[in-house]
Amino acid sequence: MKLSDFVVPGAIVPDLKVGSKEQAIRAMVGSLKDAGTFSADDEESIVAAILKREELGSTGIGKGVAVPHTKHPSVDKLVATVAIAPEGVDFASLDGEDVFILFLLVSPPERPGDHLRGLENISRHLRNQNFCNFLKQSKSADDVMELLREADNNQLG
Amino acid sequence: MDQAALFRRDVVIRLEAGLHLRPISMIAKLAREFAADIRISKADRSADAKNVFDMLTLQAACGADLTIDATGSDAREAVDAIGDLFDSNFPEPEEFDSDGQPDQKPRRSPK
Repeated sequence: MKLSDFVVPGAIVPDLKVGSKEQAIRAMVGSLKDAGTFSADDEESIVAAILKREELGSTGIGKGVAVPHTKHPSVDKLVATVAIAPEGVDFASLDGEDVFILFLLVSPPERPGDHLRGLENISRHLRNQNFCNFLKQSKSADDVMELLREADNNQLG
Repeated sequence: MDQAALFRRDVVIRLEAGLHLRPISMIAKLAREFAADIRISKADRSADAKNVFDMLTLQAACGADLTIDATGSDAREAVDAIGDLFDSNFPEPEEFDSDGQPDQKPRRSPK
């Protein structure tokens, strides 16, 4: 599985400017909807499911990264989007730091393995400091997508 | 006392969704309370139990066998605490039902 297999290019938010965790989640889910990943009717229920998951414990996993996610029947395969928040978002992260890089994932309920593989893939790349630094410096959705492809091809050293 | 003594415990993932982010966060939070170096391994992969990113790369599905290893002054306590977390299958905080109403509290049983 590669990042470019499940990140929806048309849904990337390269310049997320929001004042809260909920706004960040709403903006990212809205962007997936605008890219045609699921119907507008499902948007609110996906946002609600992701917020409910956050209540169990923040998906701000440290190092300025958050991976909000949920299972939802509106998708038939794992889909994700990426947002870069240059000014940071308070995500109540495990390490107390603001987040600058967000990966939001929606996966079909009956396929927990895909969700784990997606998270494995994302965290493996995020351990690479070059990947994190370059992501934060991305100015456009094309920049982000190019970087994801380079990461997929192990071109980041 | 030998500071480098290794403590070890084998555990099995019984969560249907595998070792996903919530249980991993619980492990990391608990592991950070100990000074010991704590590692969780699956076959040939090993991860720092204080590092969420590391543990996510284990990709441990339901039924996977894992080993907890720790070295350091409080290694024995660390292995016990994290092993118990696996054995208790990572209890959820109190849930709310789909109407947003708190679940009915179980009746207090007589002492």
